[in-house]
Order: sequence, then C-alpha cells, then structure tokens
Amino acid sequence: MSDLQLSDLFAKGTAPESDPAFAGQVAARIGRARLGARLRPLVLRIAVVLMLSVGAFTAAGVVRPVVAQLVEGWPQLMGVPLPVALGALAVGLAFGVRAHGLRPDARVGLLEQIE
Amino acid sequence: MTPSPTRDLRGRLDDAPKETVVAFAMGGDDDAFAELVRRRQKPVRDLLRRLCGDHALADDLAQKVFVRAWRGIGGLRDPGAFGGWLKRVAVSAWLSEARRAAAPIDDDEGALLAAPDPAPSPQRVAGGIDLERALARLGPDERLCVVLAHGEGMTHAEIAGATRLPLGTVKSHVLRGTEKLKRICARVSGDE
Repeated sequence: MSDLQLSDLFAKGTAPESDPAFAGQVAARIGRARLGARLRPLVLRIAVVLMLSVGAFTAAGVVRPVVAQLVEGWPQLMGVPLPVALGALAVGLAFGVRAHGLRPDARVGLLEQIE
Repeated sequence: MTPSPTRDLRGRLDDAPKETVVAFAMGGDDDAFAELVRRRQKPVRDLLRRLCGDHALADDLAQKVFVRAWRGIGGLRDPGAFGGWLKRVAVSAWLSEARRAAAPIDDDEGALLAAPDPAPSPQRVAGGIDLERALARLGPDERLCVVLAHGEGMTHAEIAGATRLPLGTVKSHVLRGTEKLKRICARVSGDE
C-alpha cells in the first residue's frame, strides 16, 4: 500500500457531515454545564451560612451558662440583661458600619467636613 | 413580516467566515458556538472514531470536547487558532479516556483478519478496508501519532506538542505505526 492510498483512506470519515441530533446533545450538555456553573456559587454560599449557623449555635450553648452567671443581678431591658443588650447593639453597629463601607478614619473625615 | 433578529443572525452565521463565527463565540454568543458545533462536528467525530474505534464512545467524547471548548473558548486569543486548539482539546480528551480505561490492545495483526466483523463501517463498504478496525490493532500512542500525522496532517513537532510525547518517540511511533498499518491494510485488501 502506497502513502497516497493511505492518505485516500484517511481522507474519508465515517461521521455524517451534519448531524442535528449530535448538535442537540451538545447543546443539552452545555445547558446542564451552564446550570451547574450558576448553581455552584449558590450552593457554596448556603453551605457556608449553614456551617456558620451551626458554629454559632454550638458556641451559644457553651457561652450561655458563663454569660448567665456574669449578668446575674444586672438590670434588664425588656427582659434582656443590660450588658447583653448593649453588646448586641455594639455588634450590630459594627456590622452596619462595615456593610456601608464607613471605616473609622472615613468617619473622622466626615465629621471634619461637617464641622 | 420581518425576520426575527435571532433568525437574521442565524442566517448570517451560516455564511460567515470561520474567524467571524469564532470571534462571536469567544464573546459568549450561543448561536455562534452552535454554528461552530455544526461546522466542526465531522472532523472532531472522525478523529475520535479513529482513535477510539468505538463510535458510541467517540461520539460521547466528541460531545465532551465541545463542552470543554465552550468553557474555554473565551480564553482563546486568536480566532484563527480555533481549529488547532479544538484538535488539541480532542486529543487531550482521548488521552484522558485512554489512561482512565487503560484497555489492553491486541497487537496481533493476524487477529484483524481472523476476527469476525460485526458491523462493517461505511468506510469498509466504500474502500474495502475498515481503517478504524485496522487502527484499533495499533497501540494507543502509536495509533494517536499515526492518526494525527496522516489524518490531521500534523507535523511531528505539532504531534509532540499536542500529545506531550518526546519528539523521538513521536517519530518512531509514526514510522512504525504507518508500516504496521500498511501491512494490515495490504493483507486485508489482498484477501478480498
């Protein structure tokens, strides 16, 4: 067999020139890949939130008896001991400031501008 | 009635030059990528059918190749390089499959003649020789090098780049594989 005959043999192929079924299957696989790519970050976020929630729940169980001893005898605000209410307020404010991107140095600049 | 913009784009893509279609697909245009699948499905499927020897597996791999291409086409720098890049994606998919399966290859040339032919491919009917079955008698690396050299017209250096095989090994595989393939084909055609 010559090189030319071999080339002729390779020039032909068994796959059809155009196969809509094949193209449809590729499109379906791409659709599934696209859906997976969109869902992955969402699933990751949910997993992180769940893990943090479990951690916070466990930590609360450990901390609760210690805090209960510390706040015994303190005045209460709507049934919540005052140090706990103040602590929660401080944490909430800190998160609020971070969420709005207002850093302490930015706050100083803002106050200077107001003055 | 005016044609819809999608149908209009579809019509324009049918006749558009390859580089234009690739450039659209690189920008995330799904219609353009579908057009690339339509245009490139035959060469990719033919390449993988020759490498696999199993049409169902080859077509499954070809679909995976197009999904990989869809994922990676945004990172392509030159639209003109799409054909070569797609070929490398196909070779890489085949190499992964071959390593995963690590199927034993029957190197006995005589076995090809002795074994019954369950489903002769159209190529056998047309040319008298079933190239895919003959190629299946070569070892995986040998077959890969022979197919890329003769079927895809790649140089030894290009094959070495695509397969990550040493250049000397590629040359040896192409030479020995080609001789072996010629012997197998000559015996088949001589018998008929």
